[in-house]
Amino acid sequence: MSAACSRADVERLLARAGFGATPADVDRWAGRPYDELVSWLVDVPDQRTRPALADDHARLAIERAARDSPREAMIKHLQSSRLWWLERMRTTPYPLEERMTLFWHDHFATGFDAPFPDVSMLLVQNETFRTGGLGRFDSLLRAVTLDPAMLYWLDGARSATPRPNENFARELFELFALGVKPQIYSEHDVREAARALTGWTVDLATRQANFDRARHDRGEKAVLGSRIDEAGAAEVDHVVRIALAQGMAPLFIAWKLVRAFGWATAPSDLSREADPVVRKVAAVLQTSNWDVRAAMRALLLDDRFRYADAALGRRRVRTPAEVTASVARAIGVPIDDAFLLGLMRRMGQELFSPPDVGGWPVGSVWLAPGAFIARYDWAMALFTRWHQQPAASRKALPPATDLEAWAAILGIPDLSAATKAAITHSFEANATDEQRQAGVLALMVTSPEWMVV
Amino acid sequence: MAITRRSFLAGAGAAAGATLLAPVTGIGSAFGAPVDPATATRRRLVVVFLRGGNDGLNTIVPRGDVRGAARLSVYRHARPSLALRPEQLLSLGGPGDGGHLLGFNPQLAGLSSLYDAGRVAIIQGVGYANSSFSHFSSTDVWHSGEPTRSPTSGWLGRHLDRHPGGDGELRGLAVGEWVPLMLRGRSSDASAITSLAAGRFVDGTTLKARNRHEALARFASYAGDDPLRREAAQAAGRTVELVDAIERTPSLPTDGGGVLRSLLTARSMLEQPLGVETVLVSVPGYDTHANQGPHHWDKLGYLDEGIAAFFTGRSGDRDFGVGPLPDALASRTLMLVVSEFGRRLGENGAPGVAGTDHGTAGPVIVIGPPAASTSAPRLVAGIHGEHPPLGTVASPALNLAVTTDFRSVYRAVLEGWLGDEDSSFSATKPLALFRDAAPVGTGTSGSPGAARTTAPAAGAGLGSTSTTASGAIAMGAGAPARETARSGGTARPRGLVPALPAALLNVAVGVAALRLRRAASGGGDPSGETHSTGDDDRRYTLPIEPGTGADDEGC
Repeated sequence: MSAACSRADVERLLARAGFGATPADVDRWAGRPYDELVSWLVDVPDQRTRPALADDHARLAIERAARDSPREAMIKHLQSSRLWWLERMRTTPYPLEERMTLFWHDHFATGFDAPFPDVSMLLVQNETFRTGGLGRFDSLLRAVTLDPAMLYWLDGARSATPRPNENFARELFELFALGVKPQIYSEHDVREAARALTGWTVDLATRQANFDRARHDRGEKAVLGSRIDEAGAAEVDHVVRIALAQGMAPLFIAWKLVRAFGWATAPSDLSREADPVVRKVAAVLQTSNWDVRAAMRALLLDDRFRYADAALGRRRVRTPAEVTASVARAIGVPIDDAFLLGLMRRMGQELFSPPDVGGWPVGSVWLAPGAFIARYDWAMALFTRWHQQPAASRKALPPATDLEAWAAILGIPDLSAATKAAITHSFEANATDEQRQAGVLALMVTSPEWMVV
Repeated sequence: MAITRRSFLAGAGAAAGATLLAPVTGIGSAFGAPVDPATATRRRLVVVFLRGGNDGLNTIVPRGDVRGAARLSVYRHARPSLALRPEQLLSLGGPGDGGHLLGFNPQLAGLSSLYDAGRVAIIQGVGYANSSFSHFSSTDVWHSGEPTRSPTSGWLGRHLDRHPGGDGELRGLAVGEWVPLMLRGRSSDASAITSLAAGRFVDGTTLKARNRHEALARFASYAGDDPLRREAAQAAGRTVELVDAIERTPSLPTDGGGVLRSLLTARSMLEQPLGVETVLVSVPGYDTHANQGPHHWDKLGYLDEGIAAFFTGRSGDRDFGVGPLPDALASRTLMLVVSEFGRRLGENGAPGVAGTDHGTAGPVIVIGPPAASTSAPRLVAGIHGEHPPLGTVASPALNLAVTTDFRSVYRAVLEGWLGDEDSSFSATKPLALFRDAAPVGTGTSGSPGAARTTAPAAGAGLGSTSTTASGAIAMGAGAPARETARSGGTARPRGLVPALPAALLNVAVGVAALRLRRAASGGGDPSGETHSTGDDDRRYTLPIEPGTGADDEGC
């Protein structure tokens, strides 16, 4: 039993591990033990036994429509997929599940421009992240290695003996399992792993990975000091097992988790200089046999994560996907118009289109001017959508002058006097209340207190 | 209005303390202050960074047996499906200077034309010892100029630190979503913008909008302890100043996206009296592991179009309506085209899907002022450095040897062009990329490519030569028709966004700021540029008073 949640605890935790806290969230959790709130986030009901959400059916419909559709229709289905996912983020009863899906989409960053037959493969991969995102990382890594979208994206499906394509093998070590802090694998290891992973293609009829023995390099390989004897399709298991047996692997994954949900550190050597919280999360990954749920529970429960502390606590800049879903959630507006995706692109993050295989950057990059302007514009556009809803059915919003009520709607526990004064300053004498409200929303979501949590 | 804001920020900045300002967003200046007239005479540098690892062997291509190094037979054997035929290539010179043994990829007709005009230097085999094959590590090396330690600043960010500009100058500019390491210093004030259209607020420039933007600028007085929140607060003020500057920058007359728009955006900002001195344009999509043939072909075509448009306002028969880079600017602008690494000699995969994996050395391309320009220093056009040896057919090189240390290029540019020094490069000799201008009408300076100098030995100590460009090559003959730039999105109906009640609306506002296509930089992916959605062209209606409309780009 942990200390009871303050209202600020709820707002901070849901800002960092969800898509923001509404006043209803705060009313529900304030005063209850903090670990109950963490449990609610982390112990997501099993997808196989819980009732399907309406948007699960919507996703399957997009998948069906996208499958085998002509190349020219790809953009349409891609936009549908992006809108679907953002709406899911906005409306999900399981916010951490969606945040983990976003985390793995960034970790295993896969872009739509690979020569996929169609966009449905990305949705299938996305669902793999959703169902396995809080499960065992070793299972997830193996699943992603043979994921059809990934086999296309990093060319596994086009790697064959005698000239294997090294793309996936390199990123498996550098980006997916081990990192380079420090780099413990050699170019030789990359080439050997690439040999072990030859032979995999995608069966377009079943949409499954398919092992083609004729394309596989049958020689003996040595990866990170371990010998891999000829084992055909089973060699992929050896490669994943060998990679994850390295001491760097849990440290690297723990560092990525802390970076995504808490704060970014840039140690040059994780084995020596890791943040104590990173070390703790890494230890949980190791002792729990790669249980991501246990790792996330340990992270969210840690006092260093929980309590606002200028040195550690508020070091996280909301990413554009979170901005998009959180603002829409706060004022009750659906994300249902491709126009809004253009604004998100301007913020610097387009789902299913990472800047490269390394995923998106973190931290203060999201404060750059273009992203800043787009965030302001996003709030303005979203307020417009709110206003277009029939007055009887739209969510009630406070008058522009009630800044405390606006802060509560947006889940800001600590709006400063300076920010309030700046917002009040913007009120033009002859502006309507709607005009002022639009300004309040745009200014609040560009404020330092909302952006950095 | 702007003066008020600047005065306000001056006070706020003192409270926040300039030293706390984060490297990414920087802060401190109020763009749009009158720029010192001397600024106009400063030299400018535009760096084009080809992200992903550009295949140098498919950019500057062996056309014959380069003495002792690149043998055509090895090249063709190692790349059975990717090798280009000698007759396809645009030669780099006539017999006698060795340039005829190399050729530009046929997609690079505009660059080839600039080369023939004596404006281009090609530096061969550029890289660093113990190359990292990681995109991310190697990008850090090229951005920082420091191969041997964890990077904390960029080589141009440090330059901006050492030479602080005048008050109100926007000296470092990244065309993209954020400021990459290269432009980050400890106190420098680089900024980032994807396009001119993305540099304007949706609500325009009316009094009501300006009041709101003024409020944003006031965030800069945030007094909390959190460093990142202070950075966010400073970013707000900085953004408003940048928008002010962009409001005064004429819209681009051309459509399109990708590298073309990025380079024309850079050019527009350079042409304004904003103090812009160093620009970084990052172009994604060069990680050609598979299906390299068509992908790299397209990428080079787009790149060439952008470069040609930047310098000449045209590409092939397309006229972008901006004219050539004005003389005063052209004589002071240098462009550097680099990438984090080159690629392997040998292709991978099966024919038809072959690509190349991560490699080491690659060529660096430098484009300078018109040969007739009288300003000093002058770029020594032609071929610099030694071509990396390709080995033999029986034993081809796995990777290309580094024959020129990239720091010798950076040092030459820094010292020879920007008039600065960086102790990080002191152990590397500068490449002889520049020489003082000869007086007009004397010597050889009027003749394209006639500059001749001897470059010092560099990098691996293999010695180097400098050859000259010749203007004798027929341009573009036989070059396949190039795919033209991505066309702009077409106007679409308003779809789900119905008009607002008239009472709320003063005018329906055409929102130039929302007409944003995929930016080349940071936008993602090789073919992404061809997949712009066009949704951004819709007019969007706000329940707020409109902008003036005067800034709208074609809405």
